[in-house]
Amino acid sequence: MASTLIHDRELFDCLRRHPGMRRLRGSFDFLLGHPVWWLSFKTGDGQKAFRGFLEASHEIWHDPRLRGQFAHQVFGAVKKRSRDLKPYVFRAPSNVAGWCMPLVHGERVIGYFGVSGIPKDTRAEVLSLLACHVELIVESCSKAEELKRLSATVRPRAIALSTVHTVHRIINSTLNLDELISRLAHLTAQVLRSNRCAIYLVEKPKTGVESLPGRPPKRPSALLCRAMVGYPRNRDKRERIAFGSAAEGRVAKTARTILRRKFLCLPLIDEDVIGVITVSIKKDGKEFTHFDQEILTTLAEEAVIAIKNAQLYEEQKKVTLGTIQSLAVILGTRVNNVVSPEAILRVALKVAEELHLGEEDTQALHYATLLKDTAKIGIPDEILRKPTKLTGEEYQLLRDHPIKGAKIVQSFESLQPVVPFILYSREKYDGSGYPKGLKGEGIPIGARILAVISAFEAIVMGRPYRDRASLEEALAELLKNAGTQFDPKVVEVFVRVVKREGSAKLFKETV
Amino acid sequence: MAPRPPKQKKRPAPMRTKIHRKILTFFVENQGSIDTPRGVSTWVNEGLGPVRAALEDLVKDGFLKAHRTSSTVAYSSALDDKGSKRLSARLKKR
Repeated sequence: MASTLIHDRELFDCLRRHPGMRRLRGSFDFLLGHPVWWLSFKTGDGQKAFRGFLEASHEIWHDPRLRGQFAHQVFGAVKKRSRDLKPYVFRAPSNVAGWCMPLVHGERVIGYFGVSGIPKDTRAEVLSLLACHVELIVESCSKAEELKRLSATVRPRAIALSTVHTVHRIINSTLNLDELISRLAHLTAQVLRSNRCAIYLVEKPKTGVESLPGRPPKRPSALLCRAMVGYPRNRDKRERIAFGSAAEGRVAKTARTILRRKFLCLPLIDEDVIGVITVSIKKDGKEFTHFDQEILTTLAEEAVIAIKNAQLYEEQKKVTLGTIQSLAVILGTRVNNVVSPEAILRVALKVAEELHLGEEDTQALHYATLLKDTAKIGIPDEILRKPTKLTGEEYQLLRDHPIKGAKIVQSFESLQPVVPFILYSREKYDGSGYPKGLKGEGIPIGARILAVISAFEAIVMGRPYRDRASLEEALAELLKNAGTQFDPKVVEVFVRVVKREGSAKLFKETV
Repeated sequence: MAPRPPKQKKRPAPMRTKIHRKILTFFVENQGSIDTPRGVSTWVNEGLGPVRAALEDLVKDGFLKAHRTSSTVAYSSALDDKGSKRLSARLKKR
């Protein structure tokens, strides 16, 4: 009821402010013999209030006669016919009449509009035209108010929906689990206006004898903190909480939300609980509500999908790397390597870091370093281990191995970025290399690094027909060919990395 | 030792244009909102280009926080509760 009253009041105020009301007086004043124009809210509040409303009409009509002159007379007429919903003429003292139009919205009267002091012989058509105009204004006000109310209801929800959609886009733009969880924690704290947010993921049980067939799989028993926002600095950022202990542990164990005045904790559920998300202490000091819980539930649902995607991606990356490493080990057994692949890989990644390579290029270089000799799988042992110089045909076979290697790697969809690194690893900086004779920056950066690494490896390892060189000799050889065979920038960084690490640290496994 | 020049007072927060003020009003009224430039331009009913520029201005001035990813950038309020109330009062004053 109260809300209806508020709505009626808003509608009446809109009508009172409507410019059409003044225009109406301009059009009809002469026709009606300059009467007193008045407008009033509904009479329910009694005569005193009605008089107040009538006097307030002065704001619209600026007619000094309104001040108390007709209040008693108009109130009496309106009160007498309070059930009428259609316009009517009422008697007024002396030789004039009054006309009143109940302002109807739906089936309710929200107020009255009228003129007092019109000639008794005023034509009904004129009054009917006036009523039509007022009706149109009431309708226009009603529509405007409805739109305003609709906007007030829908807009906040649309904004909240847009926020959730934006959060979804932000968290799904990365497959790096750590980055994703950190972003999620910051965004959740922002959306819920909370000072603190923490995300815990279920700690995977270590695989051991329990995972053998016949034994039940080990169940996770603890949560590991993966992100904390707004907590004191001395708080352990890698906190571990056992299932059942503390609020977070209880939520993980029971998969039920905890909503307290200053704390809200929700489980992240896929098929089973995969973690929990907590927010605490609102920035405005208010309590957490069920609306906050609803928002956090929506965010948690989005988060679960993103977390599962990132976890799957990481697992897939591990499988790919494991396969590549196995392949590298198999390849390593075919050639009598002097330098261990691990040492070469370490150097390659440090060079990539110092050259500020992007994440994708670094990863591709990682794989390319392990796979650079893939094609050697097709070269007979007699050639690989030949103690004398190679014949032209044998040399051609070795020369083609980057192309064959690239072809082998090309068949793996996830290794596409590695292909150009391997394919162009025999290109020379001055353009005299093969297979395409690319020059300078035209050679992919990974291929330029790989070229230096392969050459270094070959010099340090020696060949069956050539003696091993010392580390210093190998670096000197690289520097000698910087700018012609190798990218000078890459050589500079490579030499710096190798010198900084020191031969003992880098090559102690073998040299 | 040469006397230190007097510290210049930082210029008051720039509510430069109507768009800046509309964006600030939006984030004061919806403090938990995080939205893209297109979203904000819808809520403040202004063109995408000017809104994008104004959002960056407001990030530089410390009113908003930008969440940048490879595919998009989203903006949210960078003010705490007190800051928001102060800003709200200033906006109302204008």
